[in-house]
Amino acid sequence: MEQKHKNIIIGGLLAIVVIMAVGYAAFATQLTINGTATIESKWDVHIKTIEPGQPIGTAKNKKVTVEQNQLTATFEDELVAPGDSITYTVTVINAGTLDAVLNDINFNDGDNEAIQYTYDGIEVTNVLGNGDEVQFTITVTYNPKITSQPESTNSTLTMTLSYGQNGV
Amino acid sequence: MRKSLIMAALIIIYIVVNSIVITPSKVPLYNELINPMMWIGLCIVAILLSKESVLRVKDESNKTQSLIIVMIIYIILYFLLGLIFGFQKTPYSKSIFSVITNVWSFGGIIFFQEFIRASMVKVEHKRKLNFILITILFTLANLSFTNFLNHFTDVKETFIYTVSTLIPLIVSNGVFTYLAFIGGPKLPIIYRLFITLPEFVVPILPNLDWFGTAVIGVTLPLAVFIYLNYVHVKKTERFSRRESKQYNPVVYVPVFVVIALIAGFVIGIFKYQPIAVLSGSMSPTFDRGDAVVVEKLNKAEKRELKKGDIIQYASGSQYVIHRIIKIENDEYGNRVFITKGDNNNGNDLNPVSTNQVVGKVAFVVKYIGYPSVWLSGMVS
Repeated sequence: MEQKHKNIIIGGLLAIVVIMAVGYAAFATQLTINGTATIESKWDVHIKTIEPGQPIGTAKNKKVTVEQNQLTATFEDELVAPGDSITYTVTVINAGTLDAVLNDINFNDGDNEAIQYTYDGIEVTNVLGNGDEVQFTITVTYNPKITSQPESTNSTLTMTLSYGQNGV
Repeated sequence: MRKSLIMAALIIIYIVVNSIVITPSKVPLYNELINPMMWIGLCIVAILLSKESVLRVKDESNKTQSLIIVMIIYIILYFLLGLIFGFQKTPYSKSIFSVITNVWSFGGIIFFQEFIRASMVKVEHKRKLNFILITILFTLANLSFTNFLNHFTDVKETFIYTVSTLIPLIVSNGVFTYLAFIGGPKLPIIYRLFITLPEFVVPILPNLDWFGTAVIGVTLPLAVFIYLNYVHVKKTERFSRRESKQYNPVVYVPVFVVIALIAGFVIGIFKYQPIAVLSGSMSPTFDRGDAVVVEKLNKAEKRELKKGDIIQYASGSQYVIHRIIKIENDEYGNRVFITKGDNNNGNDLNPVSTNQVVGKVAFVVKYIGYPSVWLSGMVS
């Protein structure tokens, strides 16, 4: 008797799961989905190190924050004169056992017109095999062509790398 | 016990060879072939060693049903958490071939591991010791060593890794061993499939931080243990009504509700959130080591802030809790707050805009913030 009851409960719960799946399919576009989950042990792609290079001109590296074992880094610099620049070397490691592919590289610079950034040595669709590392550079420059006084000489640039499994 | 020790030795060899030789050499088809083959090999040895076949599964349909109920409820609640915390994409490829490969690679080995565990659990003597040994072995076998040392670079990382990964792994493995003991390999297999497979099949997961992961990682195995223990004890032993009441899981429901509420309170899903005070700038109103409870404010409520209120506001990547001493309009006509710590000589450098304000201090609790102060002291 008790087992029969439990079967009914299981059936009811499964129905809820199905309703949730249908709901997901229907409302997937309205859900806020932020970034990619970091999952330990099987999936582990993260920024290993970020080394600031020699600044050019009067540029100063104030701070680099990278959440450990994550794929988001924030570069804070002070760029005083046009032409000032600073280059960072970023190393990303795939410490999991699955091959990864770079799906997206996203920058957010707070809309400061005076600050430009470029990256070199990495591009979307690059594959990072398991156990492999990739190095690339990011250069933050005070736009030499800028004529008006910018709001701020402080530059905050946030980089988010989005890796996914290199599926078949 | 002797057979159990032979098996234990083989698993230790697996752990060493796997983490030192095979994983670093990046062999092709590691997940799909090499790793499952190693576990199949171990599983065959385990079956040959055990007297009665572990493959003969006892009829434990009542326990199986109970476990399935708990796991489905967990899956429902887990994904509903996404409505509070938001969702994240899983990194796994969702092409049909990749999904099948992943399910085989990471779900398949669960079967072999649990058959081995179930074969080792059946010993007559030194049960406790055997139980601990099995739990430790399978915890190690399921740890990733490739990036292991990087989790211990500073106190903060060590703490996060310990509470969000190590402790849940140990607790769940303890429960898996218990489940294998009361119901054979079937129970831990069901449990592990429920927690392992969704991330490969479902495209999104709730966006939980390490704290949420840690709370769930410990609560779920405990809930399973309490409920299954009740089902098991009720069946195997004859109890008086009062005795069986002690084991009734309903008794524990309030405990879990309280855990959930406290966890929710601390991570701030409610209107009020406790925050430990890390500096003495507001002394004597509150000191380093006290905790303040901050009432989060919406736009309308922020407009009602007045001089003398103590507010929490974002300043760069940090939060500051200081008193409003003046309310002004900036050059664009927006309301800004001039703030100052009661114990500071000067005002805070920059005026605080409404957007920066998080909330208002509702009340102060003396001294209970000290654990956080010590922890952050160790971190910095």
